[in-house]
Amino acid sequence: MKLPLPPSHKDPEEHILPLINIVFLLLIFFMVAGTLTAPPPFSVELPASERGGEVATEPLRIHLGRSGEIALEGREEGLTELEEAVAKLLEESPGRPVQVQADRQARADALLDLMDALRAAGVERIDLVTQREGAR
Amino acid sequence: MQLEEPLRRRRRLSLTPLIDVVFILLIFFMLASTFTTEQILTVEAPGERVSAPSEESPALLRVQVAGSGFIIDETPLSGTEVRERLERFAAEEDEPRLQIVAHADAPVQPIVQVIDWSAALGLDDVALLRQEAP
Repeated sequence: MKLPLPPSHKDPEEHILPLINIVFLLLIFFMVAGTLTAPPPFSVELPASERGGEVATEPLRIHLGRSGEIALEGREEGLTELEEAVAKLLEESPGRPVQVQADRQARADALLDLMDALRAAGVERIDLVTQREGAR
Repeated sequence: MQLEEPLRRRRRLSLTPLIDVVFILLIFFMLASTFTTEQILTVEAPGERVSAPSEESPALLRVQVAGSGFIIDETPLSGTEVRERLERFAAEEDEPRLQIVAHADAPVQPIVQVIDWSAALGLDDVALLRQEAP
């Protein structure tokens, strides 16, 4: 008995088509599931909490470092510049949520100074970012 | 004059450069994106309440967060004791009000901890205050 020969692929590149499919799927997964944000110029270890709400989309991100450094959208700022910049940004898009990522070891007076400055800039509610307990 | 005959079949586009670019994009997104499990606790920005002398009402509990631990009514307490106290307070009072008085040298974690507990107990009226200089 003579079996028919399997159809021979003329193009050797056809063998890598499934590979490309998988790589495309991975690419789309990372693009959709991951968030791309400007990292702060210093490291911030978020405090842990058991509960908490969903992170708002497109918030104004403010980072507070361990020794009181402040960064707005990844750029280091002083308190007075921050207040002006936040007031200006909120004028452009009122009601934009303001998110504060404070290091767990940061001092309370640094956090309260920051919150006072935000209050002066017209922010009424602040989203303190935490990470889920036991997540890391 | 003899024109060249057009190619009968167009050469298929080579896939190799495409794969290179896709791989580079993939590696970029893998390294640049973050997957932290972030959540938020919403707090009111302290306003005039900071400087206003708050009257002592029975439905007001004041938790001090110092650098060394928690203090309620001048008594240093451990975390679990504060939690129990908050539970009793939330259950007994109709309109419980909580004030978190942060000492200057207190770290952020215990403050977030108290806000977290009060959120779990359904305490809505939580104010974060600064410890006045003695």
